[in-house]
Amino acid sequence: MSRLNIVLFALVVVLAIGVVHAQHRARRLFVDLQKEKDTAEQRVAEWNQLQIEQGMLASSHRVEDSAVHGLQMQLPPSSRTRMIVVGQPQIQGVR
Amino acid sequence: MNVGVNSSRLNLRLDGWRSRLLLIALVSCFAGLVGRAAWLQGFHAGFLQQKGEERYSRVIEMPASRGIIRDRNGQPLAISTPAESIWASREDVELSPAQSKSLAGLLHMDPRELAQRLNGGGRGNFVYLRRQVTPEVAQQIMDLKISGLFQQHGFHRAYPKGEETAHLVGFTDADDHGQEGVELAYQKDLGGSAGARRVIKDRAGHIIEDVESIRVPRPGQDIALSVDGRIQHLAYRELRNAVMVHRAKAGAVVILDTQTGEVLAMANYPDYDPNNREHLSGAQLRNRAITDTFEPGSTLKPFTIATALEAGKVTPNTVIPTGGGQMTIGTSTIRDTHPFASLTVAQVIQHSSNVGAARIALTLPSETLWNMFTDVGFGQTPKLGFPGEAGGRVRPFRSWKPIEQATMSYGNGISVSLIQLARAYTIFANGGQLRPLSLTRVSTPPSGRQVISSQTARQVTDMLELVVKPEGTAPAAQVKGYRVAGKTGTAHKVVGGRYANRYVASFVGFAPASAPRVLIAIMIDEPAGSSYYGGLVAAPVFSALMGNVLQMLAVPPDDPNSSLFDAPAAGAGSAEDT
Repeated sequence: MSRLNIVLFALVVVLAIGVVHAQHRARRLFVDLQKEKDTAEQRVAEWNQLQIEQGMLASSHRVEDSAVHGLQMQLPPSSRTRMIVVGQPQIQGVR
Repeated sequence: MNVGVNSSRLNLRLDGWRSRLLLIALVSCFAGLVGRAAWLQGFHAGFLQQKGEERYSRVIEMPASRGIIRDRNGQPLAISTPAESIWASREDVELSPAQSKSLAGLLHMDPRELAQRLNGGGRGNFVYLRRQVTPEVAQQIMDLKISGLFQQHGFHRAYPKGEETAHLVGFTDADDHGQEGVELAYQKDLGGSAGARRVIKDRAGHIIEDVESIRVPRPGQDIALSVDGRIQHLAYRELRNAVMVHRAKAGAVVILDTQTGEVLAMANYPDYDPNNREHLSGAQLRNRAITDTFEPGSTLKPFTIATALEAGKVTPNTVIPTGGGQMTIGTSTIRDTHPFASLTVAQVIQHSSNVGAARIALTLPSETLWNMFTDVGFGQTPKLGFPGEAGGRVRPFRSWKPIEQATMSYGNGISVSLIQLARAYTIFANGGQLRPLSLTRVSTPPSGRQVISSQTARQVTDMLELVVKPEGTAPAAQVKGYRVAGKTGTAHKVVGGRYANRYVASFVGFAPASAPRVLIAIMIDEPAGSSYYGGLVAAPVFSALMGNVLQMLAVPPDDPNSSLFDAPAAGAGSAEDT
């Protein structure tokens, strides 16, 4: 009888330590999860920031400006343009 | 020996009441404890548990991010980024002079202004020092470790396209609520709702356990507008140029996809930068295309003609006597800019004859004309869901006098907004159908309502094509390679109840005329240069815009008489002749 008691007592102690350990692990993992969630949020914010930046850098206004003034580009005059229609004979200048 | 003593000891017995007293005292002590325990455990437990939990559990607000507004190609027009607000609890702030200086520097504030915020003026203990600073700056401020200074999470709204889309997209206030434009119109979808949850925190302030979710946060939905960023840019640029060249007071452009009813672009000038909204005036803020009404002038004539065609009163070739450009009704005289003795119905449109339109209108019952105006949406709000939509004004037909019916036939005495006018014109481009407009992307076009027969629509379109011919009022509206249909308008403005020498120049047109895809409506308010006619002020804008938009949408040219491009000049460099 007393031997059984001792075995049960030891079992209880081991399990109690197990519970404490599991609880601790759960909390640690939860903290990690929180950190990852925060990181994810930050990444989204960063992504939005980058989209804004891209939007501003690629704005038609800016592209046009640097094409005309920076690269000295210009729309070709219509005399030097030709339209090509896929699947049809080429349309040439004047009809 | 001393028996007496012995016997007295034997007789020494305590009085019975003393032990009973002690018993009662002890029992009542225990009863007291039991009672207290019962009180705490039974009746007071909730309160105590709550107090206990407050030591470690916290309710955390979970802010919902606002949805992104995009154009039809997915380009962002409005995006939220995290921002912090710095606030102070006045009584608790202790600043050393050095701290004060660096704080003012980080807040971009004058140190005196900062001191004034913190000490003087205003009631209450709570004061915002600056709202919407970047998280980096907020962190630097927090690193100063000033007591009584706190930060609050929020969002800052950025508008990458700035002025170009300002009137359409609108903006939000510091609390992330839409104030203007689409931001206000779609507040419900964009806004989302903040959530809250209960958590357990440890000593260091880390969240260590999620207890319960009180409210699930609902992030705002993204919205895809029907607007095309590239077309919007063109529209804005051309409009701004036109307003500046003609030293006009204002202007607006609306571009529609005639097949789906989608708004491809909507630009206004004067404008403002939604990213920097200091010193704003109402004139800058208004989305004139939607909120302002004007007398459309001659751009209304096609509706008069369409009504007469529908009623079978005229055919495009019926000859209308135009009395040398003058016509008197009662005491009033209607005049034409270019006088003719007589014109066919088609020529009435081509030369924009007021007398001709009036003569045709007077053959119609006023109710028929009123029905047409109402059927195409004049006098009613366009129901785009946009804030401040104007409905315009069409007076009830019972009160029309003949002179009023005559002037209304060419667009005086009736007021419309530019978007109403643009939408009304889609009946000619769409085989007589009027579709609802949409600011958001449409996958399947909503069914329209047949307002006029497709035959009438075709006939009016043919007349509108004459307008841009060399003899018409707007040859400047021609687009190389495409057949264009459109109508000019030049209306006197009503100032203080009478017509003044100020004008609204307008042009509404669509192309390709053989199978319309795009409709553009332009309104230039009070051009102050040498010319003020719609055909000279608004038509060139139309031509430039339409040419670009059609090429952008890869619409094949439909004009057999003029090529998209000039013939290669003889001997011109790289262009080979075949």
